Amino acid sequence: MGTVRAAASPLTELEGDVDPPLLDCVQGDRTAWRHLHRRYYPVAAAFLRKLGVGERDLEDASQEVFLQMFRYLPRFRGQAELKTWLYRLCITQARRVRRRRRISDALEKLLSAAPEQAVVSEAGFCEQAARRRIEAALARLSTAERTALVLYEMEGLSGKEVAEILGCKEATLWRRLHYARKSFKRALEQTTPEEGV
Amino acid sequence: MTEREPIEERPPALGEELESLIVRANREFEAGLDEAAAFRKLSDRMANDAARRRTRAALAAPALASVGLVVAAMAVVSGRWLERSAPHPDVVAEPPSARSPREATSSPSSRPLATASAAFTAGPERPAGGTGAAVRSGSIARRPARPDPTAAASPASAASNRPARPSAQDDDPDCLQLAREGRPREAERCFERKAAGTGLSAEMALYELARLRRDLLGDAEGAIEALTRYRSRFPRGSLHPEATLSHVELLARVGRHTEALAESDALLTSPAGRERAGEIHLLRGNIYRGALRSCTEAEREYAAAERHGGASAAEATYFRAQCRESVGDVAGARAAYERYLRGQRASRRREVEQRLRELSR
Repeated sequence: MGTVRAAASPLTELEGDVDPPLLDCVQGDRTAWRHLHRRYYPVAAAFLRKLGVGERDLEDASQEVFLQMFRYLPRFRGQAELKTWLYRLCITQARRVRRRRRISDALEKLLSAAPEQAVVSEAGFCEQAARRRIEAALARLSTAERTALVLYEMEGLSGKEVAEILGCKEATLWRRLHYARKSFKRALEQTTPEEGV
Repeated sequence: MTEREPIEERPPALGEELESLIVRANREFEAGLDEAAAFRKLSDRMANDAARRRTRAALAAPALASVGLVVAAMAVVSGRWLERSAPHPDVVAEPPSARSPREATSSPSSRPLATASAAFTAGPERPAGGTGAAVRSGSIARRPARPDPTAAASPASAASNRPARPSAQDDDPDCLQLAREGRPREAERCFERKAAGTGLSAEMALYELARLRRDLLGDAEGAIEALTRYRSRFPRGSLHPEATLSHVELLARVGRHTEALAESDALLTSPAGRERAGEIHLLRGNIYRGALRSCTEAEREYAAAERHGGASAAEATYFRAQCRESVGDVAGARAAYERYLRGQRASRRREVEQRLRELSR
């Protein structure tokens, strides 16, 4: 697991990088913000996608995450790692998006004008096929299971880090992960490589 | 009896096949994200939010001032009524009009009203300048605001401390909306007005002005002028790398190839330039190939772009193949086209397959 989880994590790739001094960000140094955004935007946006935020909501959702981050950075005391906080912000935002989406989807259904999201099928691109399969399987998990599985298996965080983000005990995380993996594997078996989201 | 599953322990590995699937999917989840565009939109939104806050403050000030005046009037009336109904030694010592609001609070019965009015009227310890100034210097303006990086970062935040004008909305119109509505000339004037200001909104406006001229008005020279202004006014601006790269692209577009090459060369030595090295090498390659007709130099740049990976690398491979074709090296061209097709970002797949078919005839 170690090799894949390490390779899978965008954060592990960034660990060699240096965070911009947070004090500079707090003091409003825009170059420092830019540095922070450049470093964490890909992590946040990819994570939001994995949590099920669709492309049409992705821009707004990631913008909200960074607005929150910039707004509350002065209150960030460094007790947790910045990435842990970022993941929490993303989880909250994804929850909001899901809620909004449920309402708007219901409205669209009512009005019988549901424009289905076009899935661009580029057969032959193994990454895209892999993403579609994973997305289809993740969509069948509960929100809690999905979040735990994405953080641990896809983002490559340690059990301790994931438990901290989710605000639960490690034992609880392992239990949740156990069921999540079972459901995930079952869902993957039920999806063909060609299946879309 | 069934064996209890150790579900509260770290789970075993997922298995090689599944892990490989996750790695591939992860790559795709991270693909196609445009950080620069996202930051631009974020900055724009923060500038707009700051403008909206200023507008709200400007609109709230007269309303609060009116409330203040009413309260003050009530305090005076109430004071007079109190004087008439129950004369107090402190109160009757001098006429109410001659007393300062602070002194007026000495009457216990009138204290709440007088204290409230004192917050909205110019008293001895308050700066002169009328009701509006008193409101701004009072609790509303001095209330500790929620930490806001826009306010902290931008000189525009100083505007919130300056006397707010009710016409703040007019000062911060949505210029992009004008462009979206198909009124690019008005949008241009709007951005010009905004760019004449200071702070983040001016910075964004200047950059957007360049984009508008480049993309909607087809005015490359005008865009260059805006970008030159941006770079000299905001040498540490958050969009400086994008502005410089766009500047180089535009120089190439208007045929100022030597300047474009010199500037891109300098850009490659900067940290921001190194981050965009793939794009810069691709651009340099295109200048050498298209304008200067030097495939040797172009190929050197394309090879450098390929080394940096990403979308630019795929394009570089494609143009490298074209270079090979133009010098009659069919085998080299075929090899490059095939390499292009093996990549994950082959957006010219159909065209390349056609070229390969023609080369094999």
